[in-house]
Amino acid sequence: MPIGDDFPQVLAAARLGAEWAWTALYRDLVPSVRGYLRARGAIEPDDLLGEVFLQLVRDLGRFEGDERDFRTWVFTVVHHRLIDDRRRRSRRPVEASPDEVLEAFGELGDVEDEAIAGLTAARVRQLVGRLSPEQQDVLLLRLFGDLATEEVASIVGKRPGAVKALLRRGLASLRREMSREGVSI
Amino acid sequence: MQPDAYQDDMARFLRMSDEDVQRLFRGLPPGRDEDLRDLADFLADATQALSRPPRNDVEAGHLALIAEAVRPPSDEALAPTPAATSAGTPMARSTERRGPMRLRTVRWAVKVAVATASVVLMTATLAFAGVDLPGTAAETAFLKVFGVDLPNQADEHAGAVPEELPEAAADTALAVLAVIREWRSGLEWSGCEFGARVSAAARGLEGEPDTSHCAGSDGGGSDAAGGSENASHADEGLETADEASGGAASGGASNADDGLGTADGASDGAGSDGLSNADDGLGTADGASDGATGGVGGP
Repeated sequence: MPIGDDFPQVLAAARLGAEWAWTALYRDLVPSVRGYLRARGAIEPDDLLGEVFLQLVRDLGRFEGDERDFRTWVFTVVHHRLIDDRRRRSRRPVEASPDEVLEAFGELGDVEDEAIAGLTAARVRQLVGRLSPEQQDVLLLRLFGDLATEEVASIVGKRPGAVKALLRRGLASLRREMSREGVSI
Repeated sequence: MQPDAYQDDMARFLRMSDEDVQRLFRGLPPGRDEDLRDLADFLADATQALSRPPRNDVEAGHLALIAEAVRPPSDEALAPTPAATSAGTPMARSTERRGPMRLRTVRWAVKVAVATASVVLMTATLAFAGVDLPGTAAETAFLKVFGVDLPNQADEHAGAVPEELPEAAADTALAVLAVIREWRSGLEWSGCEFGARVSAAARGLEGEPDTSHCAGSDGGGSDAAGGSENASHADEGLETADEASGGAASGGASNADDGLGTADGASDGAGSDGLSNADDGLGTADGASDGATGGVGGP
């Protein structure tokens, strides 16, 4: 849910270091950012999430723009953090538990609901993981970031035309995988 | 899905409009394509299943980290309402920008300092390597700024008048050199007097030369020494020189063998720029003329 008309004031307060403003930004962005990280198969999405917000705090002085621009900027940071994390882990592999397993030991609300959500997340990752990395990038940025083609293009460093083609091929491939698996979520 | 069906599906997606794609991402089948409902549902469910906030303790940990990172040196400017903080926005931006600007200035200063040091070092290195640097600017700069006399530099301006002449030098050359030294020692001769004395020395005349005729040309000499190009004074000087040289200077021929040759000898022997009058063919006559026109500066 976007912050809307209050966004300029929230951003200005965040620049001044107001904690309430950062809390508002965090709560607005965290679900979609975390969804993107999980869908892309981040090993420890919550750790990455913390790193992302610390970087946002550090670099906010360089940001200029409205709420859409802010969202694009945040997902740019998220995307690059994810790539860095992958590189780091490829050099020093660490065995980590999937976050669904960890969440099973944490505080939960409706157990049945959480279990279904966990299964759904696992199947989504399984299907999306069969797409090419580029198709995953554009499809998941579009899906979780709610970003326009041009915004996705600026994040992944491609032309909008190329992003459009990748997006459509990704959707076609996803549908094929769903048919193969007989997936019905 | 059969390969052909997949190809057809791919072609359909590639033809799909942006609006239809947008509908799919919102969990709605595009247009009348009800068969894409499963994909639309999948996308909607995926978003719902994965886009969840972290556990409360994780969120609390993140917010604590953020609070620590944003905490300013003094908390006074912070107000918990947007209205109060919006007024401070320009100030905050100017503060944020001052930092990088200061950093840029320091970077530039460092660059300029490094460039200057490099030039100085390069000049000094060339000097030590024996390269004769053009002009005296570098030497003077080094001497004045650092108090360092660059080594291995050609000494162009030192010793206008040599200490000694070669043994083979003619007596007249020695006599001319003596006159020059006398003049450089600070005697207040007019140009006419100097020319007459050089002329007399070059011709080997002994005793005080006749400078009585210079009394009238003193003004001219001093004017000329001041940079005047007064033609009459120059003529006067020339006449004086003619007279002093017995007409040889203006005629030129005999003086070329005698006075000129002597003056040349004196000039060569002395290696003096100051004796341009002896070098340029007019010999003693020119000495007088130059003296009159300021060709020879005061000591």
